[in-house]
Parts: sequence; structure tokens; C-alpha cells
Amino acid sequence: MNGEKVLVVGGGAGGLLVSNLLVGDGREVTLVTNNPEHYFQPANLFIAFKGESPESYKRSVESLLDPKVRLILDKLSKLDLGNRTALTERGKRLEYDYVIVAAGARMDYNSLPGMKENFEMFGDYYSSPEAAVKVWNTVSRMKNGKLIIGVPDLIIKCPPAPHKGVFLAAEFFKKEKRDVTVELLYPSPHIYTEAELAKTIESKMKSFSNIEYRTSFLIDSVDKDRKVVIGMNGEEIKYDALVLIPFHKGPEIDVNPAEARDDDGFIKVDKRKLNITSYDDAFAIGDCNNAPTSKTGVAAHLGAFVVWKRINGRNAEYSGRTNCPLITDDEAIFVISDYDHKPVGQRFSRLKRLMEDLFVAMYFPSLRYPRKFEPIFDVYFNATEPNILGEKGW
Amino acid sequence: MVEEKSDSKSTEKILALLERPEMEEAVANLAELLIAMNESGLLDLLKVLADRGVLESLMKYLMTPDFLRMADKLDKYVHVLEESGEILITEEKARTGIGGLLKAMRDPDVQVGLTKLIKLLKFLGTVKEQ
Ligand SMILES: Cc1cc2nc3c(=O)[nH]c(=O)nc-3n(C[C@H](O)[C@H](O)[C@H](O)COP(=O)(O)OP(=O)(O)OC[C@H]3O[C@@H](n4cnc5c(N)ncnc54)[C@H](O)[C@@H]3O)c2cc1C
Repeated sequence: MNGEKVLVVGGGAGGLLVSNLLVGDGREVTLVTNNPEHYFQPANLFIAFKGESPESYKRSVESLLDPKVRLILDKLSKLDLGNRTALTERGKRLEYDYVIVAAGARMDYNSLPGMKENFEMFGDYYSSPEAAVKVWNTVSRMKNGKLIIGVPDLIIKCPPAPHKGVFLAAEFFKKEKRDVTVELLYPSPHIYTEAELAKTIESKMKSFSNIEYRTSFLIDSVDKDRKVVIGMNGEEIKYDALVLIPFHKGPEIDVNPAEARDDDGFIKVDKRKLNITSYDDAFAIGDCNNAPTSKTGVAAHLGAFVVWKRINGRNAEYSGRTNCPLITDDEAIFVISDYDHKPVGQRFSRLKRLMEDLFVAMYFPSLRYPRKFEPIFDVYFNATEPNILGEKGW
Repeated sequence: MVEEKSDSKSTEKILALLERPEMEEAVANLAELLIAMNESGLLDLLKVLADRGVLESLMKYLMTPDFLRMADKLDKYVHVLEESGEILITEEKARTGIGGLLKAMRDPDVQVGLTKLIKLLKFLGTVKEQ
């Protein structure tokens, strides 16, 4: 088969899916990933605010891969797009006919004074399950005072995840009858980047007596000794515990040519075909690329299918579709949008929360057996396309 | 040296599970359940459901924008149906004549109810057999 040697970088959602899909065509697929475990990132919220065990949301990469995929546990350090070669940190040289980079986003704590120290003290629910356990250790011991969740930048995974954290924390404190207020510091003028959806979220927040929020709040720095977050306008807000959402950057891979990456290190792609700009044998899917849509598991999932089909000569394109759930303990909305449509109107409902639980239950098997799950997901994505849900919303 | 995967991990896991003391009872229970499910035809039904074609058809039937919207509000519909159903099945002693009707029309709730009824009638009039 022509183009049979495929190199995939990253054992996250996108990398596992695309590896399993392509190896099923009889190609020789090698997956290089630097973490032997794959964990379900949205579950960090359940670890941080419900005290759930990280173990239930982890699987070995090996168990999620078709045994025909060759797995190399190593970090990819160099990728030479012109010569179709790559080098791992431990010195293994690899050649390919196609490369798919799915190395996710790198968390950066150094772009804001005080952020690193704060991360060491309180953890967060973005970087790892272990860091989420740290959040739980604080949250579960707080008896009163204020927990702040601060968002310094809007290029983040699952844009409603800061809000999810606020709701789940507030619900925990309410159930436990603890006198703790949860405050969200948000940089945009509305409580969510899109104004209509912001109204729905805002009214839900107002129905909680222990949630506060500030919009247009640009975080400048953190003073851990005085326990204050300092805004760019000089305003100071006192906290008892602080969770900051880290800045997101492109993966740590030395890519040649350097112009293949943008200023933040994200890999530049054609937003619909997902090939790396100027290359037709190299793709980047999921959080590591610069497609102008939200960084979500759904983007990684749909991207994997687009690339699989394109490598097989089919004319698939990624529409920019997102499907981020914003959950409270027992209700949810989905942020559904694409490149051509802003998020559709939504109401919080229990059905959506139930659907989210079903998605979680299907997560690991759907990575391992993507072809089986494709028709099922397709039906859902088709029925809920933004232009189909339209003005009426959901 | 570059680490590559081994196949033995899952086998090890299964062996460790089999050695657990609870396993004997669990396996016996499972075997009984399987026999019962087989006899009742449930196993055959599950086999059909696990087939992706059937699952896909089922999803296609359920996943339409109208169905999703309706399912989203099912709890609200059930509330309205329950409340109005109670009125419908309870014997009503009071009688309302023209005078009573006129008086009732001054009640803002009745006024809203009437507006809703008119909207409903208007919609029903546009429904065509498909
Ligand atoms: C709190 C939270 C909640 C979320 N909620 C949702 C949600 O509800 N719905 C949703 O759709 N999405 C959600 N997301 C986002 C979702 O988890 C990510 O978008 C998704 O995991 C992206 O997949 P990926 O394959 O692109 O990257 P990742 O899953 O991050 O995988 C990247 C992989 O690459 C490996 N890697 C990195 N660099 C290298 C290298 N140099 N060499 C080799 N390997 C490397 C990493 O170890 C990792 O295994 C959430 C995220 C968070 C943090």
C-alpha cells in the first residue's frame, strides 16, 4: 500500500483514535507518546470537586490501542517535515509516509507572576489528575472564606470548564453547609465569550447564593503572601484558595521548518483539511493545532476521522464543530458551534446531564473501537448540527 | 533503550482477578444469569442490539432535533400532563353557566389559559396529515 508508514505523535484522544483507524486499513502505524497512561481529562473536575479517585479515569495507552499498532513510549523531540523524519528523546530515528501530530497543549505557568507558586500550593484541574487531587485536598478542608477560580486567558481547553468548576465547587459547599463563596474571575465582558449563552449561564449562577463573578477582569499577578489576585486595573481581590487556569501553548517538539508553528507554538493547519500548512503528508489534530475553534475532545475526535478519511483519499473536512458540556451536579448544557455558527441557544436540563454521563461511559471503548462507534456519534452530531438546531436551539 | 509494549499485562491482570476469593461466587452468579438470559431470549435481543446496524437505526429514530427538544423538556410535560390529567379524571361538582364564564374571564390565569388554547387551536389547524 502506498503511504503505508504512518507516524502518530501523542497518545491522547486524537492520537489513539487516528492510530486505531489507520491500522485497521492495513497500514504500518507507529505511535510515539511520552505517557504510558491515558486519562480522561474532563474527570479532573470530579476529582477536584467531588473527591473521586483518579484511578477510575485512567487506562494504559496499550490497552486502548489495537495490538497491531507499534507503541513507542518516548518523547518525540524533533520532527523534520521536509525530510519526513523524526527523532525521539532517547535517540530513535523514525521515517514516515504520513505524520499526524496529536501532542495536545502544554500547560504554561510562567507567563503570569505568582502563577507557578500558586500551582504548587493549590494545584489545578487542567494539568493532571494529581494536580486535581491537590485541589480536592484544599476544597474538602475549607470551612469558610472564598475560593477563586481565575481565568487569565481564553485559549484554553473546554472553554466552559472554568464555569463547571465553579458550579461543582459551589454545589459541594452548599451540600456540606459550609460558608464558602466561589468566585469566577473572567476576562471577557460577559461571563462566557458568547453573549447569548452568557445570559443562560449567568442566570444559573445567580440561582446559587454562594457564587460570585467578575467579568472584564484581566489578571495581572498573584501575591501569595497577601493572598490577593491583582487585576491589570490595580484592583485587588482577596482569596483563601485560588485555582488558576494555566496558559496553553503548543507542544514541546522542535519542528522543522519553524514557521510550521505560530507564536504560541501551536501547529499551523488548514482549518478544514487539518494538514500542516504547505504539507499534504503531515497533519495536526486536537489541542496542538491552531484551528480557530475550541480546544476540545470533540475536535480531536472529529479531526481524527477527517484525517483518516483524507489519507484514504476521501474528501472529508472538519467543520469546527464543538460540543462542550457545561455541567452542574444534575443539569447540563452543551456549547454547540462551528466555524460558521455561533453557539446555539440552550437550556439547562437533566436530559443533557444524562447524555453527558453516557458520553463518559462510552469514552474509553469509543477510543479503542472507533469504527463501531462512528455511526452512533454521527447520528448525534448530525441531529445537533448548529444549522439544524438553528434559532430554536435545544 | 526504547521501551516497546508487551502483550502480557492484560493476561496478568486477568489472572490476578481470577485469584480473588470473591471470584468463585461472582462466576457462579454470572453463569446462572447467562442461562436465565438465554432461556428468556434476552441474550438474543442483546446480540441484535450490539449489532451496530440495529443500534444505528435506533439512534436515527431517537436522535432528531424535535425528539431531542421534546426529551429535554419531558419532566416539564409530565408535570403539565399530571396536573391537567388530575382535573380531567376527577368528578367535578361545580357547574359553570354564561354568568360564571363571564366572571371567570376576569381571572388573569384564565385569560392566559385562553390565549394558550387559541394558540393551540391555531397550530392544530395547520397540522396536515403526513
Ligand atoms: C478540566 C477539563 C475538562 C474538559 N472537558 C471536556 C469536555 O467535557 N468535552 C470535551 O470534548 N473536551 C473536554 N476537555 C478537553 C479535552 O480533554 C481535550 O481537548 C482533549 O483531550 C484533546 O485531545 P488531544 O489528543 O488533542 O490531546 P491530549 O489528550 O492532551 O493528548 C496529548 C498526548 O500527547 C502526549 N505528548 C505531548 N507531547 C509529546 C511529545 N513531544 N512526544 C510524545 N508525546 C507527547 C501527551 O503525553 C498526551 O498523551 C476538557 C479538558 C479539561 C482539562
